[in-house]
Parts: sequence; C-alpha cells; structure tokens
Amino acid sequence: MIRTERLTKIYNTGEASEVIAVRDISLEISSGDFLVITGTSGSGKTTLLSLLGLLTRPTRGKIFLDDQEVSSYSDAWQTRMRKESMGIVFQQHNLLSQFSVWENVSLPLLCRDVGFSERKRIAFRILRELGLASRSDFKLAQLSVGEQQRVAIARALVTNPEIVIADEPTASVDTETTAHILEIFRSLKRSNKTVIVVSHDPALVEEGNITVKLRNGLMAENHRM
Amino acid sequence: MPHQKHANLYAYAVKCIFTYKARSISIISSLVIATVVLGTVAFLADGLEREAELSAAFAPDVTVQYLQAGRQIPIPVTWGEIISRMAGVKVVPRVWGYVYFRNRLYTVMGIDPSKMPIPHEINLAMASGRFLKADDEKVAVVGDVLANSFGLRVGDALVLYDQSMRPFHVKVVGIFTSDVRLYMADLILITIADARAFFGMEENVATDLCVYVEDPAQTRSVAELILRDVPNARVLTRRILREALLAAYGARSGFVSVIWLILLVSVMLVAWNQACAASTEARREVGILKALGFGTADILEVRLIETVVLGTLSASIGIFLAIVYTVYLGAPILKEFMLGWAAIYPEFPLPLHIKFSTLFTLYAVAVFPLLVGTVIPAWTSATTEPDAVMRGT
Repeated sequence: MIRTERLTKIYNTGEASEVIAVRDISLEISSGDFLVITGTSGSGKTTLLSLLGLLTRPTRGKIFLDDQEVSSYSDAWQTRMRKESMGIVFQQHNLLSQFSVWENVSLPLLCRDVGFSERKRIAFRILRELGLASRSDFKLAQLSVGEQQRVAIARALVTNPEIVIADEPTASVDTETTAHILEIFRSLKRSNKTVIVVSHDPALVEEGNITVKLRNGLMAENHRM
Repeated sequence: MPHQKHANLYAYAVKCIFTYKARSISIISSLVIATVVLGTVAFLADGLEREAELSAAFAPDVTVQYLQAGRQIPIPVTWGEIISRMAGVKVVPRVWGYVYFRNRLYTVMGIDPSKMPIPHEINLAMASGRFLKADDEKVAVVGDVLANSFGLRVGDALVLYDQSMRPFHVKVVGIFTSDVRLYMADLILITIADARAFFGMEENVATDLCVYVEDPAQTRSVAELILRDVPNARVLTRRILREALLAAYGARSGFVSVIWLILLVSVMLVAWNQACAASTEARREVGILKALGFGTADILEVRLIETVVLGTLSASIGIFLAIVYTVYLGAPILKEFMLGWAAIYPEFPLPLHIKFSTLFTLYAVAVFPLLVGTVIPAWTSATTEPDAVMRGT
C-alpha cells in the first residue's frame, strides 16, 4: 500500500546549516501493517513520518501509494489524500488552544459536507470512546497533557482514516494515560488500520509487526514479524 | 448537503472573529475610526456639492451685474431694455442686499413675481405656505433656518430694520424647505417694490439683471453678446455660477482627499500590522489546517470571509456613527473645516447627503486593505508545505 524508494530529505540544501534528515529509506507498508519507527533524538524519525504523511516532499527518492508515485503530485492532490485517507497525531499535539475540546476534534470535518449537529455527534462519540466525554466542552488549558494527547488522537481518528500516523503518542504522559493510549492503538490494529508510529515506548514497539530503527537518518534496522 | 462545507467554513471564520478577540477588536476599532472620519467628510462634501447643484438650478440663465472700479454697483434698468432686444431673451431686474440682525447676516432679495419666470420646482422648494404673487405687498417668503431661528410660521409678522434703523414690517407667507438650504437658508424674499423701499434704491436701478434665455443652447452666445454690448458688465451664466460653487466646495474636496489618503494609508498599515502581529499564530493555524486536510482554497475562503465580515461590520458601524456624529452632534471640529466660510451666517445645519458611490467606496476602503493584509499572508502560508509552516521555517 505504501512504498518508499531511497527516500531522502535534506533541509537547508546548499547552506552551511544543511542537514540530511533521512537518507535512502526504502520501506514497504501493507494495508493493516503496524509500523513502529524508533531511533535516537535527531535520527530523522519525525521527518520520515512527515514524508509518509505527505506533509513535506522528499529531496530525492519516491513515495508510492497503491503503486502511484505520489511524492511529485500537486499540493492539492496531497491535501486531498490527507483529508480522505490519513489521520495524523503530532508530537506537539498541534491543537488550537482557542477552541474547545470537541471543536478541535471536529476540525477535520469542517472541510467536508458534514453539518454542525453531525460533526458534534461524531466528535462526542469519539471523545466518549477515548474516555473524554466529560471534557468535551472544556478549553484545552483546562486539560492535562495526557488528556490533550488523547484529544489529538481523537482528532486524528474522527474521520475514520485508513492510515493513522502518530509521532510519540505516549511521550510526556503518565502511566495510566499511556495504558489508555496503548489500548487505542491496539484497537486500531484490531480493526486492521494501517498504523505508522514513532515511539520509544517498549509496549507500543511490541505492537508493531514492522520495526524500523533509524540512526543518523539512515535505516539501521528493519524487522518484519 | 453539497454546500455544507462552505457553511462550515463560514461558521469557522465567524468563530475565529469572536475567538481572536484582541485582533478583531483592534481591527474593528481602527476601521471604525477611519470610516467615521471618512464618512463624515465624504457625506458633508456630497451634501455641499448637492446643495451647490440645487442652488445653481434656481439661478437665472444669466446674471448681469455692473462694475465700477472693479466693485459692483447698482445697474441701470434701461440696460435690461437693451438686452431684451435680443431674440428669445427676457430680462427681469432684481434688488438684493444684506441685513444684519442679532449679529447674523441675512440676505433680503426683491423680485418681480409678475415678470420673473418661476420654475415649476418652486413648489417642491416650499416647506409651507406659498410663493410670492404679483400683487403682493409687504409679504415675505423666508428660509427654513431663519424661520426656525425666530420661531416664524406662515402668517407671522417679521420686523426688519433698514439702514436708518426704521422698522419695516412684512408678513411671512411661505417658508422654503431645507432641501435648498445652502441658497435659501438665510433668505428673506420680498417683492422688488418692497426691496427698493427697504434699501432706498431708485426705480431706475437694480442690484442686478436676471436674464432668461428661451433656448438654453443660446445662453453662451447671449452672454457673449451682453459682454460686448454692455460695458463694465459682469456676466455670470448658470454654468459659471455652478462651477464657481462647485469649485468652492472642490477646495474642501482637496481637504477631503488628504483625509482619504491619510486614512487609507492608516487602514493599510493597521491591516498589515495585524497580519504581521498575528502571523506566527496564524501561520501555525494554517499549517495545522492543511495537515488536517484543508485545501488552499478552503483556507483562503476562511480568511476571505473573516476579512469581509470584519470590514463590512466595521464600515457599517463607522457609517452609522458618522451619520450620528453629523446629524445629531453637528460634526464638531470637522464642521469648522467644512463650513468655516459660513461662520457669519445664521446657525447653519450641515447638509448631509449619502451617495451610493460614497457608501461603496467606504466599504471598499474598509475591506480591500484588510484583504491585502490578511489574505496574502494566508495564501503564502497555505501554499507552503504544512511541515515547514508548523516548524516555523
């Protein structure tokens, strides 16, 4: 379903601050796979995730979705792909602090033909599933970091995407929240979603059927179970 | 619903206006101040221009005055007879002058209702009562400002004092409407016979001669002939009078233009400043929305709606306040700039006129600079990779 060929991303090309974030990464991820990307800080995990989420373009190499080479496709096409097939959880949550919890969760539905009450109903349902029903009308500042992380996950799942991409979903959260988030990802795995996750959490790493370890932007290990 | 997405984007844009309160209040207050000043000045300029047009419409085709040593002196009535010999030309003498009363200057004008062609529109110019008739004696038609100042109504007596401070009694038979205020606000219109008596002017002279031309196309030729045949004459056609009046207001339009320019630049600066001040947060928001599947067109639509709502709301509040400021408060400060020349006249209510083109311009001034200041940065962010926008690179 997702395939990369010698994927390379270089930031600040040609400048003194040039950084080769990832280099020559070739991967194959099938539908229903659970890929866990690990590696030390600065090894290129987040960059690889951004490339797979079509949030940035590779400097070299190619990305294939269902055998279509999509890395050179237009911005509009890539945006539509994200809208229709992907749900992304960012490392920094990237929630909009001025909006309430349910409004944040329903944001991806705004650019679709979904009415207010339907949006609210879907958002409340997913928040209930993630144990945040009582926080639906709260502002983000009223939530703990763990709760904010779950809101970010709820937002990624609100459109029921085929591919879920998550960057360190269990970082900076307590043990209880980690367990809760793990259960969410297990449930995604059970429902045969394609999951691509960056994590150092051994429990989450255990869930993956593919494990990729990055070192200095290069793929140091690639295990498929 | 196929259009639900646009309704969602509209709701999101409106929500943003309420959510980013500081930014919205700052933009609205700047635009409201700009629109109030611009609106007041523009409405007054339009009002003055309209009154000038109306005033010119009531003037004769050609006015002939007599100059001696460059100053106007009474003109012999016999000269009217010379001018009347031209085909299709009618000449009517007119006697007018000023009278000071309670430190204010009023115009007393004497006409001959039996000879002077009275335009049909005169009925539209009457607020109450009637116009002068041929056999009238010691009666007057007065301007509405004067009537209001002295609490005069039709049927009341008005006592004027001539140069020797002898009382001169007239009865008010009509009051002009405020639509022709600029020309008639301070006017006391009486018969020419009464005016001669009041000003002590002989039968054989008049203040000026009103010339009416049957064929309006010949007005210019008639004026040229008068200039040729009547020595030392000052000949004013209606067109010249109208241009002179408009030029007088045009001078104030220069002031208006400066105000427009200053405020336009201010509005653009405010809009740009807002766009820059909010850029980090706004860029991040755009990056997030793009990552969530919002297209460039969706983001521009949100910003466009936000800007149009803010601009339209601000302009509407500004226009409303401009009308209140002018009509109910009398436009303090700005009035002195716009009507400074009328200081010795009776209290002069501001002529307010609202033209569609002015309203359109006011809305445009409020919306377009804001569009430039917000939509362009939004477009720049929306066409950048979401990853780069969220990273702030």
